Amino acid sequence: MNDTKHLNFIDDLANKLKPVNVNWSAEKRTCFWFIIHCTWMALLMFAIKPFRYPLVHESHVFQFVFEATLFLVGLVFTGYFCFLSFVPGAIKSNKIKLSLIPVLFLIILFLYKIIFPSNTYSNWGWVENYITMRSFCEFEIMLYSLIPLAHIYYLIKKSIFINNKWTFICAVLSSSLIPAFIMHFACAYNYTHILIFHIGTTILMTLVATPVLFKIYKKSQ
Amino acid sequence: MSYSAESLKKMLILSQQGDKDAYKNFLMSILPLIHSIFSKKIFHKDDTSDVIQEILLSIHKALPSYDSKRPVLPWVLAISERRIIDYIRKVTRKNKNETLTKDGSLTSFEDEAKRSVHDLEILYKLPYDIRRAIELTKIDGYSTKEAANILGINENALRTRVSRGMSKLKNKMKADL
Repeated sequence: MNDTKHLNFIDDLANKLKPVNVNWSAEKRTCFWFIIHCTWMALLMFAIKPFRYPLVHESHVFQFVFEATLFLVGLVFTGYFCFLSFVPGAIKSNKIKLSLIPVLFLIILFLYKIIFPSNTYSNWGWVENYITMRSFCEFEIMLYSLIPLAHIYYLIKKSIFINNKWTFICAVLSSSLIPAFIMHFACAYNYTHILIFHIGTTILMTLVATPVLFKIYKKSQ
Repeated sequence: MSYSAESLKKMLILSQQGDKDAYKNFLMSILPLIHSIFSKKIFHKDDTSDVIQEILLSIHKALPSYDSKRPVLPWVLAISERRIIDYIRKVTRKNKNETLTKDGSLTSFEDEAKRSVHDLEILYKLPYDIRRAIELTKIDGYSTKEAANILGINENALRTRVSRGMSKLKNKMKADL
């Protein structure tokens, strides 16, 4: 009886079948999402206030590139894991947490640099930092991150499968890491400032926006 | 009917392109797998058929999400697991609201409350505004919007009154048991 019922049901489903537009892969989605949002944000930020020049003191070039790379890896990882969680069975929910490692490493690195400042750095660049500092970088980060966040939320809503609240954490974190990453080029190069106003804002956004977004999503279900 | 993971993958890719026969074969071949894995997790055997149909429907809806570079079985199992979790949550939530009546049968307080609104003795112990809210929505069958219009209050206020009233009714019934 049940078998017949199932067979009829399968027949119905097969008859309803139409060619489907296969979703983009997580890699393709991450690339597209990152390039689009990075481009418009960089252009807008540059239009509001040009990026600092020179970018960084010569003796700190390697350090600066390393930090920028960590920012990039952090945001690409969180974005990628978020998109990966839309694909059923692609990743286990507890593995999504691994995407936070680069961000944690970044925080630890900045904390270390603040607690144990290098002898040349502590005397360098205060005047330059003061001049190149953007007046409302923390608000800019919050504001700009809303657009990639709205984009990613739209994709979450469209997707019938998401892993759990870690998807939302990754979504918010990577959305707010994009402006924080560009701020690394556009705002003052000072560890305390970066940690409090750039990384701190992304953490604040994650803490505030994730439960809100999760609740909105749950209500809409 | 048993197929290798590779042939299932081929069938699924063809299904994404709209091949009905391949899709039918795919669903038929995963059906025993779903049945064998998940029938043990379904509490009430009567629900098995419905849950399996829900799983098949979810697979149908999730068809665009399959990435041909990835293995097919984790995709099927993840979707199925999600439906099973939903089912378990639903059953658990229902069980939380259930209790034993005097005659020993299981009943839901929610259902009991709905049936007992006709019992004027209990209902008339409630304050007037709450009673009217329950009468309009649960007995007369008005929608929340209509009942709110009749009472001249907004829908949220009406929902609050109904919810408070229903919980008071439940408590009275619990006390009677």
